[in-house]
Amino acid sequence: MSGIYPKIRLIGLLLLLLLVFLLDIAVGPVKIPLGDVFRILFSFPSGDSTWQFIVQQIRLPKACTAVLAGCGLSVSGLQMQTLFRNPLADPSVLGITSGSSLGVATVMLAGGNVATLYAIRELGLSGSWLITAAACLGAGIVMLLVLVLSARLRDNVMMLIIGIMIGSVTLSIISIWQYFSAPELVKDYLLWTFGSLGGVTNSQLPILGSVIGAGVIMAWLSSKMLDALLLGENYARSMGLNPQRARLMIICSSSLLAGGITAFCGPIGFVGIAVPHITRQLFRASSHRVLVPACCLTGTLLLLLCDLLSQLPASQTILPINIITALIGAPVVITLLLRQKNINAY
Amino acid sequence: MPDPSHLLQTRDLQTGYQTGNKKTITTRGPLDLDIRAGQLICLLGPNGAGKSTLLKTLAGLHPPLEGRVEADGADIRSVTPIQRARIVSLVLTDKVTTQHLTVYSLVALGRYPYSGWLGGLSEADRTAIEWAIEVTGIQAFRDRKVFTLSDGESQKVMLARALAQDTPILMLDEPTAHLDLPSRIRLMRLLHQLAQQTNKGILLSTHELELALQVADEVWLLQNAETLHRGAPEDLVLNGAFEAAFAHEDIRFDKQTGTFIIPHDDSRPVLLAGEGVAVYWTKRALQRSGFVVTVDPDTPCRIRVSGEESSTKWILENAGSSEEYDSIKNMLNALENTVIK
Amino acid sequence: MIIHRRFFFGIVFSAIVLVPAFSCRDKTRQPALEQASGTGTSSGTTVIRYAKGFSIDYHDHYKVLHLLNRTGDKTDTLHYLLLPEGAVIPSGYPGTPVIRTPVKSLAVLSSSHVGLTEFAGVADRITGLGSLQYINSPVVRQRIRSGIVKEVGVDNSLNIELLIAMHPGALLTMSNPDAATGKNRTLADAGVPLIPIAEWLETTPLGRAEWVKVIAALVDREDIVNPRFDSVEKEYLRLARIGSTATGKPSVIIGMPYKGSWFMPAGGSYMVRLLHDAGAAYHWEDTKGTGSLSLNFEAVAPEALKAGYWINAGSVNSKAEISARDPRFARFHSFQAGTIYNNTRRTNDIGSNDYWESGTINPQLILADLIRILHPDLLPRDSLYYYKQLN
Repeated sequence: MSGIYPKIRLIGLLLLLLLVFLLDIAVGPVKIPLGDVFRILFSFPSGDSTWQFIVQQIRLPKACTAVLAGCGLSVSGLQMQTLFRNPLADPSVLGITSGSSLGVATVMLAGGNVATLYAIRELGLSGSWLITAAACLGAGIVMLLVLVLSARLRDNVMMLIIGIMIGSVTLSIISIWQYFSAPELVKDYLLWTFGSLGGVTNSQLPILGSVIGAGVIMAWLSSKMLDALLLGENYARSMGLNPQRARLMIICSSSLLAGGITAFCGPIGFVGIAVPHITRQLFRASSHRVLVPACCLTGTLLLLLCDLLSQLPASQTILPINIITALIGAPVVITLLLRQKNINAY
Repeated sequence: MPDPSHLLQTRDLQTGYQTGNKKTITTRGPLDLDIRAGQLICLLGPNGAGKSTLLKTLAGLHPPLEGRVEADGADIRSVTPIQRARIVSLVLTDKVTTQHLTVYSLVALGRYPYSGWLGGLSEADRTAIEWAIEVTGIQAFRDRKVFTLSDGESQKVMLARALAQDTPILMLDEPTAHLDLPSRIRLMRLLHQLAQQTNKGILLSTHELELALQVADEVWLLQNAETLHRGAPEDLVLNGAFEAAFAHEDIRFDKQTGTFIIPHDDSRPVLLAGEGVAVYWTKRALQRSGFVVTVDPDTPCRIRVSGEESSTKWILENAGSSEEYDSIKNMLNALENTVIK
Repeated sequence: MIIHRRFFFGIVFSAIVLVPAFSCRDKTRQPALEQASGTGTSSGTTVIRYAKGFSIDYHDHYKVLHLLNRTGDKTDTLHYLLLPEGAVIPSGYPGTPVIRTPVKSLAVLSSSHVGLTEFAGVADRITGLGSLQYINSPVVRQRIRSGIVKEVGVDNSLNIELLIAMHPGALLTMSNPDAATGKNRTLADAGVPLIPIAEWLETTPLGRAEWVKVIAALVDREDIVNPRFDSVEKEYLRLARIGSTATGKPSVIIGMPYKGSWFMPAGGSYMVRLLHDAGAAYHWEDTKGTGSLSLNFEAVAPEALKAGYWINAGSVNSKAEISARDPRFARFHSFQAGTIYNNTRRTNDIGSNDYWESGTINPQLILADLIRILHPDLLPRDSLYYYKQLN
């Protein structure tokens, strides 16, 4: 707890975060001089209105989305790993992200849209708000289902299994729709599943921000309960934890975070499972009072880094964010796990 | 009227569990038990008899099928979990698999009922933690990660956590299960000391009969769902409760020695004479080998023990011949050979 | 689901001379301004000038149809023998499937193919459609109402048994994957020839329209179709001359982005060809490829902000809907100037857009629309056919 090293580490990470955030705004397919970027950021008039549009309307909201998604996904994953005492748990383990996918698939695939092959290629999809709302609805329904079940179940392992089963069922339904859909609709749905940080506009950011903020604060307030759950539910109860209330808070908070991000950005994988492990190793902490904000920090860094990398390969195109998070996340987690002495513990 | 010296009391208690419509009764009772301050109570019984369920019911983790468990006059199922956590603390058999937990952090978790809303620790909390660490003797590894500890060390840590919880009652479920013999003895001694020094009421379940006989102030002997014997361990030995509880075709509890004896079908009589520690152990060896020690002077086979310490000699007299041996092993070999002949 | 339009084919075609009509078109006319995209195969009576995906060999008593069949990145050629009823199968074509001409009934899976059959005047021979949900042709709609046209499904839900029972003279599809193997083989074995009409692979508007000549060969109507096509071609070239020589080419953006990705037609695609002929400036016209470029919204933004016109802005009907999709679109110049145009003018009562049906065979009307939009000084804007302005 005390000692100069943790403070140095914290300051170092915060500075790195600032750097990566600015870098993410400064780099993009269109070359904008650094000076102009700063001028636009700090609201000084810049010469080119196109550049202003790009920095303010495209890059800034995307970077902010990365920050919010990084916080939300990692805190959600942390809670799931603690609640189920399972190192492989991630935000999707309760089936919330599957619920979102089902909502979106309902609109995209089963809804049936325009006419022929080239029509779909030229046009876009139906309103983005519709997709977001459908994703929220899907996540909400699954969350309610899980809450009802958790009140009746005494065992967390059963909830884990039920969550995974819900995920399977939704996947099957979506697969059926895909089977009967036009290739273009299938491709569009596939594109959605790749995740995207660029779809959130400045007007949508406050909504996403409040959702993520609420979820993270709820998680932080549950720190004490999460700490107790580290020893297992029997010990936790003997220490005074109310397991029903704990599960309620944790599920609500985690669903809010996972569902909110999936609704706006599509399913983004890997951050939720990898960041808690990285954070625990980096900060060597077990208390959630520290881990929740630490995960926000690490998660944001990771996602901003991934967003940066997704732009570099080809200058005009960007790679979907899910690909990058997996390509970066997996080796990191593997290295960390190999350095651990006890593979079984998490 | 609740007795103020009773930390915990049960009324008409019946424990068990219910799954759907099926009810399994583990102790029919109705049980009226109580735990007093400064006492170490051992809950004994064969495996599967329901010790764990009874313990968890007494701790308030499990609802009773009938009756109630009271502490301070109130039903412990009806108080809030936090209030209950200030009355009873537990050491269970659950494994803790969290990796990044240090020993100190784990012990600090015991302050859950008292710490701040985010888990912050006050001065009083830190004092309690330090005391718990000192009493269990784990200062040496307070900063180590939990997963690096041996079984004995981690058991002490879990005990420290329960002590940090600062409750009048401490319950332990099979605390000696995975420990080696020295650790087992040390743990029981520690618990005995704690009960006396801190005036806590300590209840532990175990099937370590011999250790329990050494340290328990009171024994609850759970023979089966219908029968629970209660009393000082020596009383239960003398009144045959132990014998009855552990009665089995191929095992017998011997009142005299306080140990288990494996009876043999055809026991050959041997007359044993002598004094001192060696006689006692010779008798055990003979019984182990299937001989029965008599005092009948007409017994043809006789053994005399003489000498002390390293100069002890065993003299075997049988059918007129007499031989001297310098170890029980040699004497037994000869004895068995003569019988065969 | 892809909504395919079908034409119901019912009239028996009897009076036409089976040997293809000799309206000589040997001379490979080089249109004035554009490079002919066809190879000008002049064997027989039908000259193909623009389409690259098919060729027809005309012999004395039969025709041989060659179709390029593309599945994924594999391309092979399919051959069909077009023989009149009762004619002897000529030697030299072992294993080639035979189609008896004139084809009297057709099952059609794609909207644009409905358009092709209508051009050839044989929409009344359609007996099966992929989906009855989207159809514009009045002839076919009438036949649906009287129950003559059946729905045969698309892709994986293609009702093979129904098709075999209906036994149309030919089934027109968009492609024929795994022609030799695969479940389409069942149809072929049952006597329902599957003909992939891949007009959608052509990169020029005239090339696409020229596929009507395949239909003509199937139904022995070359003498009707060829002159019709010639006049379409003539009109198109005339307009292209006007468009491509217009002074001042306004810049154009196409399509609607989704979640940060904007699919913009590549330089070799047919849409870009149309724009070129209409006298538009397209920022990506030098890019390679015939499909779409997957671009970052940010990469498109500088162009989108300044572009004079926004064409085919997605399935929207008003500017309010566009800004509801993404408020950033309201900053585009085309949004503020009101120069957003969508090809949804001819949407009928059941929500079916005729652009996808008759657009293939009316490239000259599409080109006219575009010129009207981009150069109102050259052609009056008030008589748009497919396009409408979004307000």
